[in-house]
Amino acid sequence: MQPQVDHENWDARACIRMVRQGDEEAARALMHQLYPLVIKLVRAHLPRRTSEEDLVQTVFMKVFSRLEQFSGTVPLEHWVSRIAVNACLTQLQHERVRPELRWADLSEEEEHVAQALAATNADLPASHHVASRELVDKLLARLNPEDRLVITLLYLEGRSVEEVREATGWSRPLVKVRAFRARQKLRKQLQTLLQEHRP
Amino acid sequence: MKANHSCLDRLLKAAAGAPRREPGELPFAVEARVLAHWRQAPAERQWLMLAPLLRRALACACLLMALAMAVSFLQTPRASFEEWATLNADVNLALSR
Repeated sequence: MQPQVDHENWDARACIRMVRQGDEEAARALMHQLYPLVIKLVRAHLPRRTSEEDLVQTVFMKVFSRLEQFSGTVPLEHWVSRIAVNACLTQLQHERVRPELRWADLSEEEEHVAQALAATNADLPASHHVASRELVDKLLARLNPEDRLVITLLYLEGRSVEEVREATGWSRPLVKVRAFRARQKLRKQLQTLLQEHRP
Repeated sequence: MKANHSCLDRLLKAAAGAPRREPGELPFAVEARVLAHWRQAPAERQWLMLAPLLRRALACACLLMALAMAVSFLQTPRASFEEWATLNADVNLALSR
């Protein structure tokens, strides 16, 4: 049975106190409260060969095993975000970086997106957004985990440098440098792909 | 072909606009497995609770040890150093012959 969680009036501190005392209902409520945040992060950074459920489970196990270390100096969501992001990063590091993306690897919709990018200067229409995301995911799969993470957080989720710093534990200059280098790599990948198809 | 930075920006902008799936409900299997794991680890949790206390105790023990060494060094009579110095000089003399 799913516990009814009042997301607005939920008291994180009280819930954590009860979980620490071994209250199973509180542990269940904590999971249900944090699930939307965790699943969002897991889906954004999911490695290719890992199941969504497995990674969510890993994140929650880490959260519960480290709950005693949560001091309350930062919001619970930030603390959990960092655990989730690091779990995804660890999982991504086990994957080998894929070789260069070729035109033949694209689906029909992704080909249309690439052609539209090369043909005009205008923003892509909404009908191309899903295919664009798929194309970006394919390009990101060619980057290393840190580069993939920083591009996803900054440009796909629209987070600020400060939010990325909080989620990853990296310094602000490191976030900026990684973002710059990751963009360079991504640009090179895209350039190669578009040049391949140029008549 | 358009400038590539523009292409990349437009591609990222379009990708960011892609609809996101609703989070849905926490799968029961995940919930059950996590709770089972959590239930099985109370001893580990107790150790984790003790960890900060143990860290402080270790820091206090190190401090006390350093203090004891300093006090013992200060209380060592000078004479014993001189005895060793004389003995050392004798040995050096014997070796140099």
